[in-house]
Amino acid sequence: MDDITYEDVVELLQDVEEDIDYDTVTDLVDGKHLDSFDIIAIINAISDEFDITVSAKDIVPENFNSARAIHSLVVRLAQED
Amino acid sequence: MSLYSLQFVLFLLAALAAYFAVGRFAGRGQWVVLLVASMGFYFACGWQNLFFILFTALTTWLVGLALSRLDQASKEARDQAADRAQKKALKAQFQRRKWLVLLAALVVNFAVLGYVKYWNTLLGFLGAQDTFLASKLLLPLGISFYTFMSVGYVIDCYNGKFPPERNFARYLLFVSYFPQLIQGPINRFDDMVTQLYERHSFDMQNARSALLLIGFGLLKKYAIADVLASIISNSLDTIDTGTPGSVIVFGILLYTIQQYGDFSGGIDMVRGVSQLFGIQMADNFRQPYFATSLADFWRRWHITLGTWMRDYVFYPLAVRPSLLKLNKWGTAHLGKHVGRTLSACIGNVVVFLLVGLWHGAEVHYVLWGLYNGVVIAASDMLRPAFAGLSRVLHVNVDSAGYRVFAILRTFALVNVGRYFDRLADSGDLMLAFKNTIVNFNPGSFMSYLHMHPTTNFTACMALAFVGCIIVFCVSVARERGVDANARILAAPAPLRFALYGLVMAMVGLSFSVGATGGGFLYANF
Repeated sequence: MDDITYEDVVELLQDVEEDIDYDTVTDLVDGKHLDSFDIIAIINAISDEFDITVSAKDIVPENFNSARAIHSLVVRLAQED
Repeated sequence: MSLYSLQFVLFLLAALAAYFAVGRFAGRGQWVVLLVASMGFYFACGWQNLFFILFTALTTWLVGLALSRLDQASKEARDQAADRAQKKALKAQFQRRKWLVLLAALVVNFAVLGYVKYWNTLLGFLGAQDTFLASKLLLPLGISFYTFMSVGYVIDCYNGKFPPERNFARYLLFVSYFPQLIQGPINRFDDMVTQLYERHSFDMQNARSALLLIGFGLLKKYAIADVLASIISNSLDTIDTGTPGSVIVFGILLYTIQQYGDFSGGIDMVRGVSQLFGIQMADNFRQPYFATSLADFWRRWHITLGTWMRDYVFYPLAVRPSLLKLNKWGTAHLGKHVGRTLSACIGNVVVFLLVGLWHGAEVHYVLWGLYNGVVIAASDMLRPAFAGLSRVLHVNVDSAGYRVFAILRTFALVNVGRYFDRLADSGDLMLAFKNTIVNFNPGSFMSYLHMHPTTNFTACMALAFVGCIIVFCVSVARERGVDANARILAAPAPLRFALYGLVMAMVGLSFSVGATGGGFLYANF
């Protein structure tokens, strides 16, 4: 499913936490820009917006450290579904 | 065998000598020395303990292998599948089998932990603690810590995070590595696997750093935590309607200091011991009393338990489809923010309920867990309201002043939680809160302490005060990103030795003025 764009994901992330420059920050989790509540809010938004199931095993820093990584995760999960 | 005994020092020296000798002359097999030392340590702490740790290690090791085999079988079956639909069905079928195997491992291991840790307390609730049903078993050393580590390993294998360890002896070392057995930290297999089995040569700089860490731990444990024990007991152990709230607050504040000194001091010591072998264990504390919210506090206090709960309880629970549906309902009826955080809030309350139970099945621990969970959930739920209030009141939340306010507010919240933690009796707990609010009575503070005298009160308080100043300075440096250990090790020799001398003198003095040698508070968990 290649119709989910990077911009779609950034828009969704800004809706959850707007004070982050998602184009440049690459340590969203490791740098503590996002906490576990934010991660759940993002997963909730992904589920709502793209009808994708994110399981607990996908919640690792590598998948959430940047908007690009989150976009890759969403695209991968959409293809798996 | 306790950490502060001569027996332990001799054991450690012998283990280090054997470890580095094997490394130097054989070039490999140092992990076998560690395994023998760990088994020896555990045997010396009570041979009955060995049965429990071997059972946990064996069951979780076998389950790790079984999960790997199921993954392999699933892959082979799917490779033979005729179409995508059959592949999907096979995947689901093997996933169910994996889930059942995982469930069996969780049930068996938590049942053992539950029996030795909670059974007698549950019987007590039923009034049957003196019957034949009561367990005569002592709590095996470190069982909560190694059970959580082993269960974490199994769940990681289930999720395919890493391949299972095929050598049981090597896996047994991960579970039983002796520095982590007394009070954690709850290490992760993938963090430890390379370190435990690779070759380590003796490194003087590393040894100096490790000894400094041990010394800092000794200071916190003996010159702060232990010297305060009697004063805390005198302030909090006999609460009645006449106990001034000011004395209770004083006792709780000291208890907050004692908890940090005891637990983080113990962790510094065991991390230092492990570092002597060249193995870095996970850190458990990051200046917790500089936290700016209760959630932040729990990211800095007992970090390895917090991350374990986050990864293996909170996330799996909060992303369950049923809870995400609840979020949708919340969004529709209670607004966007509440909707998005509802499942996280529920997961958070469950996690802290479990954290409370982890400390014990007694009611006060459950209340303590719920208090933390509800405060954190409510503060997140109300985040937009707080942000709006700050805007209306023109509060600059990025200013240094606000940060200090947030630290003090969090410290106060933590101290309220300590009431639940320290006061085991519900009547005492209620009375303590009541007296704190309606009978603070600072005028009676000194007279109450005179009527309930503590041996060497002034010396104990002075020692703990100086200890706290040292810990505070080191904490400020670390909070600013300064490697305090490296700075001390690089300092001129006279300054360094003066500091070492001061710390050793304080630890020595603590043995003569305080009630030392009572073990570690967290060793009971």
